[in-house]
Amino acid sequence: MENLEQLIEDFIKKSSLFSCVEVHKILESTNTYLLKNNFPSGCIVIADQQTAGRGRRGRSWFSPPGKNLYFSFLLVNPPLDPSTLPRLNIVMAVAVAEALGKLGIKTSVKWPNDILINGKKLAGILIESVFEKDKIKKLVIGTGININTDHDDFTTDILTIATSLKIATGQTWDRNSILLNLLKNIELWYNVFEKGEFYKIRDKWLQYFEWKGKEVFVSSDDTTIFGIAAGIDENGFLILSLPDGSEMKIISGDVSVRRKNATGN
Amino acid sequence: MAEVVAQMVGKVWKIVANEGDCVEEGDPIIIIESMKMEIPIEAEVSGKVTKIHVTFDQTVNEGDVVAEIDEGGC
Repeated sequence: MENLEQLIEDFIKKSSLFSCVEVHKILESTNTYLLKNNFPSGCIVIADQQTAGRGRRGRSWFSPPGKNLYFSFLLVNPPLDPSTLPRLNIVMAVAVAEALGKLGIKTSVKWPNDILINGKKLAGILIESVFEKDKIKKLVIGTGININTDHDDFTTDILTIATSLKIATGQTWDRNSILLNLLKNIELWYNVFEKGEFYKIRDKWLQYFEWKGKEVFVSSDDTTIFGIAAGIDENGFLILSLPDGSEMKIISGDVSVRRKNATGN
Repeated sequence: MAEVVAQMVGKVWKIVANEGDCVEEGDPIIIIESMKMEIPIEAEVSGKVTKIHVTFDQTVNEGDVVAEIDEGGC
C-alpha cells in the first residue's frame, strides 16, 4: 500500500465528497474505527488487514493482509432525509460495479448491494448510521473487495460462495488503481443521488441485476418467500411478483436465485 | 405521553426495551432492519416505556408510532 496515502490525498484535494485519508496496516474494522472515533465528514479509512471485518448482522468479512481492499468513509450530518437512506445501498452497488466495469471486469449485483462474479461474492458493502433525534448524525459506508485472494486463502466453506478478481480473471490486480477508480465512482454516483436523480441509479443498478425475471427466494428470520424478481422500487426495495399475481415489496432478507432440484445457491 | 416514531421503512429486528422499562433519552427502543442496515429507533425523552406497538419481524413505515414513553413515569 505504499504511496497510497499520497495518491488518495492528491485525489481528495479536488473532491467534493472526500476530505481526508488514513491508511492503517491493521484495524479491527474500518467501519468500527470510524464509528468509534471523531473524524471530519468525508474522511476515508483504509486498512491492509482487518481482524474483525464485519458484514450484515455481525457476520464476519474475511480480511487477510496484503491482498484485498477494505475501506470506509464517513459522512457527518449528511443532508439526507432518513427515509432515503436505503437508496444508498443501491448507490454504492452501482458505484462499485461501474468502477470495476471501467477496468473491464464484468460483475452483477445481488439485491441490495452485493457484487458478484460468476454468481459468487466479490464485494460487500456495509452502511451503518448513528442518529440524533430524527436526524442522521453519522453515516459510515464500508466496502470490502476481494482482489488478489488465492483459492488456497479461502476456507472451503467460503470458496463455495466467494471469489476474488484474481480467481475470476487469473491475473493479479493493482489495488491502488482499483481503489482510486472506486473513490471516483463513489463520488460520481453519490452526487447523482444527492441531486435527487435516484431513478438514474436505479436504471443502472437494474442493468447489473441478472436475476430480474428469475425465480428467487427471500429468507428472513423464520420465513421464506418465493417469487419472481421483478425489479426494485423508487426506494431500492426489491419487488417480488408472487404466484397469485400480486406484488410484494421486500424490505430486508437474503435473496437467492432458485435453482431446479436445489434449495439454495 | 411521548411517541417513539419510525424514521423510515423497515422490519422490526430487535425490541430492545420492554413495557415498564425506564429509559433515557437516546436509548434505543427498537432496532429495525432496512435492506442490510440496522437502524435504531431511539427514545426522544427519558421516562417509562408504557407501550410497545410492534412485534418481531413486523414491517413499520415512516411515521409509524412504535412505542410510547411516559415522561414522568420513572
